[in-house]
Amino acid sequence: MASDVREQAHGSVASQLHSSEEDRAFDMTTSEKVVELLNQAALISTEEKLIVLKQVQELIINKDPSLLDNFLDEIIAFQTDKSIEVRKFVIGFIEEACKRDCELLLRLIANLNMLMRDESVNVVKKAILTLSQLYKVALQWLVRTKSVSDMQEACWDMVTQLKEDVLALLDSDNDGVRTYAIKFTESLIITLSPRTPDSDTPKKQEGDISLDKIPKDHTYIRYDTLCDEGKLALEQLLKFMVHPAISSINLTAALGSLATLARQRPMFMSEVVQAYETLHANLPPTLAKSQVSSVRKNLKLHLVSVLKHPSSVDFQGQISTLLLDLGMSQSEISRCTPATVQPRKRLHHEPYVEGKRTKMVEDDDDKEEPAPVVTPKSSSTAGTQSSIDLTAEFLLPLLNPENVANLVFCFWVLATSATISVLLSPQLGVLIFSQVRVKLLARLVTQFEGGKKNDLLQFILEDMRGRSELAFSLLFHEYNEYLGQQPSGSLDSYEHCLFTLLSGLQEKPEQRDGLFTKLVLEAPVITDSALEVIQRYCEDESRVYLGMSTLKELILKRPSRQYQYLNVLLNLSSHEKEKVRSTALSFIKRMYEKEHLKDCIEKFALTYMQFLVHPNPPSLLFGAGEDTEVAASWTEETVRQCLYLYLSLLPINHCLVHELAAVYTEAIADIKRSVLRVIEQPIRGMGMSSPDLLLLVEYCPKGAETLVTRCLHILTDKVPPSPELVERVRDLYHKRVPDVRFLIPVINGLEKNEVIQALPKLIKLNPIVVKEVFNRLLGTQHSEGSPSMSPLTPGELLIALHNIDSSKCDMKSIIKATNLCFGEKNVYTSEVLAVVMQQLMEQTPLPILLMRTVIQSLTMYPRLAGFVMNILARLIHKQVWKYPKVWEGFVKCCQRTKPQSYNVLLQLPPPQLASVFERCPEMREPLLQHVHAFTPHQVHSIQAHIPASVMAVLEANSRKPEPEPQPELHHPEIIEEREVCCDEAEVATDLFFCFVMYIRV
Amino acid sequence: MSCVSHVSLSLHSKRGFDVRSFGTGTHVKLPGPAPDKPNIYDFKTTYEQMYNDLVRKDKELYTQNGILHMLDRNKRIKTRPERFQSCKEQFDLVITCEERVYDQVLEDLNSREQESLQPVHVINVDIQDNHEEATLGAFLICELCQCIQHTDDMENEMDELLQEFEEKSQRPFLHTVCFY
Repeated sequence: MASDVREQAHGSVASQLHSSEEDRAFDMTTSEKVVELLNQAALISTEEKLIVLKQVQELIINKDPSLLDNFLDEIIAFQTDKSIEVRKFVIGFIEEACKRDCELLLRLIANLNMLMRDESVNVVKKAILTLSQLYKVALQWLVRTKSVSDMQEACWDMVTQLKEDVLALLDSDNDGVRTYAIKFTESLIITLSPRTPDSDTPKKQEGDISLDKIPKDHTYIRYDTLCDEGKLALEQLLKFMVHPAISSINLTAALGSLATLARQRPMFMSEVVQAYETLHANLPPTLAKSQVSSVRKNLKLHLVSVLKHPSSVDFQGQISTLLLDLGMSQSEISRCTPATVQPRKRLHHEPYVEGKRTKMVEDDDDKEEPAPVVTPKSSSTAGTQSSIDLTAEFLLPLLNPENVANLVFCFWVLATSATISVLLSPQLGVLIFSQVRVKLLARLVTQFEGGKKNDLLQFILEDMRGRSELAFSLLFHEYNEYLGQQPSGSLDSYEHCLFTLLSGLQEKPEQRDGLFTKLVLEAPVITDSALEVIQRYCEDESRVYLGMSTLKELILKRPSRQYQYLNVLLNLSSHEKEKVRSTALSFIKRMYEKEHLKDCIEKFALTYMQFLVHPNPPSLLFGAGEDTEVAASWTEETVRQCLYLYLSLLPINHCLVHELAAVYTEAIADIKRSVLRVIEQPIRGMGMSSPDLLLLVEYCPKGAETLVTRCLHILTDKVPPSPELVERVRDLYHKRVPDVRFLIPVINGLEKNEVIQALPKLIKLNPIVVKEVFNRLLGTQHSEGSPSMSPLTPGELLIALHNIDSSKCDMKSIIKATNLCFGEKNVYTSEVLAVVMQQLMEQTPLPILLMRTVIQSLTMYPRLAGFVMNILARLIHKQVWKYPKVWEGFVKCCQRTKPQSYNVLLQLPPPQLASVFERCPEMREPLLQHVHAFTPHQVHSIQAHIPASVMAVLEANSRKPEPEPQPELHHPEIIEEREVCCDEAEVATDLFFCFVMYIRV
Repeated sequence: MSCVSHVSLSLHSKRGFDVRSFGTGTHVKLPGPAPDKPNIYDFKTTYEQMYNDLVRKDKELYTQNGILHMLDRNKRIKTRPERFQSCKEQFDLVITCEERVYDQVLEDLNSREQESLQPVHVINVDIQDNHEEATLGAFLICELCQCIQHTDDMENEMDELLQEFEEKSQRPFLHTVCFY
């Protein structure tokens, strides 16, 4: 039960909106409901807004169309909504509304016109689709109207203009927009050509208007003009199709359009088949292989659909040949070929094709169609209203404070000019609210002197968004004025207008509406001062993106001066503000992908980089215009300025790296250092598999060794070197530049024996470098990342150091190197050291540093004492006294390990024991006592092994004088101090006591 | 977005998209005990019925080859398979996984009467009809859809995107545009 309650509660919450609507629907009129929905729509998210708006659309278009007029403006107001989807909805609404009531075209066509120029291509595309429909609606409406009003004429003018605009979009930069333009063209050709009895007509389009339904004696619509426009459109489409760089999708769309044309307007069969033939023989070279497959598949599909049409009879031969070429079998082709022929129908449209239209008038089939049966509701009532009523009806819903303000302003402007005040007739009131108003006003103002113009400009800037149409009109008229005064005209007035608008916009706080971009892109000419404003936008950190995306559009869409615009952007790539610079770089990188801009960008980058070979930075870098050198010297900052663009292109185009090497070899040391600092990111971005980097390593130019080494370090900093990289470095080292430092970054990619061979050279390098080498070999690098596999184990490395030939390397360096090993206590554990000692001890001859290592190990790990005693005993068997330096160490070791070492000492032959006492006379007495202290049992087991000769040595010296002091005596303390210190400098200056002799080396 | 394919191209790749899955043949075919003995159902059969039928026939086999798992998942998404040709909704993008299916889709779309002129892009990515390839293919298609979804302007960037994918996946894609 509890769950039931909960469910109910939950359910009611979920459907609250819905159910509350339904409840109230009983009491609410549709009108009230619409008001409520519209109120909601203003406050909710885009997704919900769309749902609500669709409900409104359903209510005022389908449920109660009488409300349409009332709420039109509220819906249309969403045309400036931030959301693309909402703006697209408005377009769909315009379409549905106009289909429902053609009269609305008068008002809505201007809105469609505006949306056609939307900044989002998706909105533009939707507007194109809608125009395809509304073009037919408008034409049909006008044809029905016996006496066309001025308003209707203006409306049709705009429809015609829009049609031209969309046809022009066949040249759009945007692939998708072109596709939509193709479909519009197709639809336009169908409308502007006559439907004939052999036309395929889709059921839903049976009521559509076409040329054959247009009376030749209409008062306003001209049959001949439309016929010509239709033919022109077909020509444009055919021309579009043979463009050598047509995209695969545009071609696909056009192929489909042609098939539709052939079926619905068989009179064009010949042109279509010919176009297919041409295309088949000359597929655009720009298509990729799979695109060719896609296009051929489409061609086949469409050819079959054309072939199936009865009117293809005269072209069956050509079509079959094409289909055979496309891989269709003869039997399949036969199956698609219609059996019957209707020659009369073909004759029927020949006259049209050949341009003898007059014949069609005589043709009885083509007599005018009766007037369409549908009569608009409004037109019947319109007759009874006076024109003033009509005007008022039209005006009232449009009035709002903003409009009234505009109106007053316009009147004011007009009234101050006596010459035109005559235009202040009541009819102007209507015009004031149409597109015509804006144009008229703009036209008038361009006649004025400066003061009035400035007033108008200020007026526009007060609400740029609401008055943008006026702004555009004004701008265009200024430009027209200029054109009209050619060849002596001056652009000053136009430039002033554009400059004022753009700079005015810059001072406005909000920029989301994209007016700036729109103004720049639609301005007929970008003057120098306008370009400066654009540059200011780009340099303004809060507007940089807007400024640069506008600049980008200019570069891409205004080819005539694109290099000038590109240059502005390129100059910003070394801007002092980080944000400006990085935004410019990211825009340039995208443009770098465009083939025609690539060279220019690259040249700029290289020119800047090549400044680095000059002894001083050029004044260009300090904002001065001329390329003269000033007496400043290079700084880190100026060096970077020359490299920003280059370095951001480098990861995209690796072969530029060779230019860097060339500049590097010529540059002074300070610049070299700066370069080495800034290349990390780009080089890492290129990666060690980059063929150009590998090439640079292989042919390391003279003078670029440090650059190459730096590259190698960057590449191997976080990842182990690739075999390919190792191979190149090995080649470079062995064949060209035998500098062992090249090997360091790839050291873990080398063979064990290669590393051992290189060790003597490596450990003689700067202590910091040696440390780096050991870090790599011992896997003790600080950086994260996968531990690379060293070719040597830590034990092997330490042993290799002991075995370095002293003729190849000084002992001091070797000792320092072994100290580095001992410094890594985590790596050199007691186990590792025990193995090392064991192996070194077994070698013959004994390594010089053996005892040093034994003592040091013992200091690090006192618990190794037992193990060390064993080692010492074994060394006696190897006659350790024959190796003077090892012997010296041996004695010191015994001295440090007494009393444990007594038993070892007792195993020495007498002369060697005597030698020990010569070195350390103070050892004798304790050792003697040690022997004396043996218990009887011990005497039996051990003393028995002490020969009398040894006892003699032990006792002999008791009468000897005190031995002369030995310098080594002071060293035990130093050992203690040194062993604990790991400081680089101390280690470097310090030497182990038993190898004092080597200090001289 | 829509994805037309054999039913067995599971709904793997469809997370996060507004996706519908269709068959194009006259029947739904599922692998049977041998390549020449598929299980055939008409489009009226629900996934539930197919599931039960296969459990009855050979639970072991159909568990092992993943068919039952797939049907189980499918039945949670919708009741029965749909036939593309019978669907009157409009899509932006149709993806097929076999050239034969691509041809059927094209034929169907071209045979419809044009009305709104709204474009629909059709892309074919050839994927062998086995579970492993289907999974690989599903990831590829998913990635493709994600890339398409992230484009600001699908139609303008589609060409380039597909060529990139072609190169990356080493499969030729077929691509066309039809209109509703």
